[in-house]
Amino acid sequence: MSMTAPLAGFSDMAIQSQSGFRTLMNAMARPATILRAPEPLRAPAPMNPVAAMIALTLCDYDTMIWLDHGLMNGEGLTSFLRFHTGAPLAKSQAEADFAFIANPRKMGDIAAFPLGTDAYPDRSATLVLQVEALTNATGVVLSGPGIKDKTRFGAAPLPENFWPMMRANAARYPRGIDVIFCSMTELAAIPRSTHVGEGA
Amino acid sequence: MSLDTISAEAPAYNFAYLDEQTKRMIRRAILKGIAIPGYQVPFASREMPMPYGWGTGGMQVTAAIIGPDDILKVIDQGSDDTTNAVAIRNFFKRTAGVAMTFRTADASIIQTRHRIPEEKLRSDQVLVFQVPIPEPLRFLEPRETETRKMHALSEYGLMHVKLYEDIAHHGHIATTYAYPVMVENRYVMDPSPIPKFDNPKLDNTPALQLFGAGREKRIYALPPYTRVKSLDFEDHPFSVQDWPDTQCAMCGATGVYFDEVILNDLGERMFVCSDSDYCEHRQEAGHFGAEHASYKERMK
Repeated sequence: MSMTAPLAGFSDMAIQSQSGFRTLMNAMARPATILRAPEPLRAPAPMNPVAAMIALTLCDYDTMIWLDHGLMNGEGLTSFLRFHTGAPLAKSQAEADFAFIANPRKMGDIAAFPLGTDAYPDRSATLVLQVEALTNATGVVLSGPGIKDKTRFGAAPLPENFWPMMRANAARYPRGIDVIFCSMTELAAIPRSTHVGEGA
Repeated sequence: MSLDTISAEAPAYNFAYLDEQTKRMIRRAILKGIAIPGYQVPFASREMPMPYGWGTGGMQVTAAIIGPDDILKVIDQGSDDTTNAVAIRNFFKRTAGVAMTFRTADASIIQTRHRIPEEKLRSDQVLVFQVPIPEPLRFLEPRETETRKMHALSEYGLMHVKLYEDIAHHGHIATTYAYPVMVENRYVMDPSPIPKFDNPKLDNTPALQLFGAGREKRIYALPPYTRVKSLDFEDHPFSVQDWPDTQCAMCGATGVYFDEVILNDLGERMFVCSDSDYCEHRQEAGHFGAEHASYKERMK
C-alpha cells in the first residue's frame, strides 16, 4: 500500500484561483478567444495542467465531477481531486456538474450530460476538454454573443461528430452544455449561446 | 503570519472579504450567466456587512472577480463621491487593498448603482451593476413560479400589455428607468434602475456587463457584443430622454444625462452632468458651463 501525499494545489488559493477564474470568465464572455492559461498546476496524468487549474478553481463539495475513462484510471488522480476540491465523483454523465475529458475522441454524445431545463437552463454541465492544439486560423465559423461579427475556431483532436453535436447543442438554447477547451498552456470556451456555422 | 501580528491588525479577512467557497459558487453562477445572456441565475447570496438594498449583490460579484492588479471605480448615480460609492470603495480598500480611481478610462472594474458612464467602455473593462429587483415581470406577476414559466416559454405578452397601457394612459411609454430590454431575442431583462437614457449603451458594447441582486439572490450577465433591444412598438418606437437647449452648468456638455439642482427658494435651478468624472474631465480640459467660476471670470 502506497501512502504518497497528493501533488500540491495552489500555494495562494485566493490570489491564484482569482487569476484562473478571471481568464475563464474572459474566455466564456468572448467565445473562441484563445487565452494563455494562468496558474497551471502539475496534476497526476493524464490530467493536463490547465484542466487541473480549472478543477481547483471551480469545483468543490457542491459540484459533481465526472471523469472520462482515462482520467478515472489516472494513478492518484481521483485522490488528488478529492483532496483539493472535496468534490464527489459522479457515477454517470447525467449527474455531472463538471465533466473532465482527457480523450475527447471517445467522449460520446454530449447530450448525455445534464442540459438543464427550460425553467432552469443553468442546471447543466460544463465540459472541460483536453486537446493538443487550439487555433483561430481554421475551423468552424462561430458567431453570437461575445463575438464581434464572426470568428473561426478549431481544436484537435476532436471526434468527427463533435461540431454537429455542438450545432445540436446550440439549437437547444437556452438549454445545453458549455465547453471549455484546454491545451497544455492555453484555454478557450464555447458556451451554448454560440452559433456554430459551416466548416470542420 | 503569527497570531500576534494578526491580533495587532484590523480584523483579518480573506482577500476581498468572501471565503473561497462562496467565491467559487458566485463564479460558477457568473459563468452560467455569461453562457445564457439575460437569464437570471439563482445563487446563494451571502449576508454582507451592509444592509440589503445598498448594493450587496454588486459587491458580491465584484468580490468574486476582483484581483490584486485591478483598479476599481465605484459610482452611485454617476457620482464617485456619494455615500454608497464611498462606503463600497472603502470596503474594498480595506478587504482587497486594490487601487481605486475616479477615472472611467483607468478602471478595470466599475461597480455602478443606476448609471452607465458617459465615456465609452473598452473590452478590457467589466461593468458590475447593483440590482434591487432583477425580475422585470415581478410587479406584473408576483409569483416566482409563474414568472419562471414565462421566461422558460419566452412568453412576454404581459410586459407588452403593460407598455401598451402606458400608451393608453399617457400617450407614450411612461417608463423612464429600469426600462425592460430583450436580450438576443430570447430573454426580457431588467437593466437595473438605470435611466432609459443609458439603455442604448447596453447594446453591442465591447465591455462585459455583470448584474448582481443580493436580496433577490440572482446574478445575470451581458457578454460583450450582445444584442440588447429596448422593448417598444412599431408606432411607438423607443426613445431616450433629451434636454433640448440644455448645457451642463459646470462643463457645458450637451447630450449627456443631467441632474437637476435646485439653487434657491425661488425655484432657480441648474443642470449638471450626472457623471461626475466625465464633468470634471471636461472642466480640466478647459470646458466651462455658465455657472462655473472660470466661465464667469471669462465673461467679466
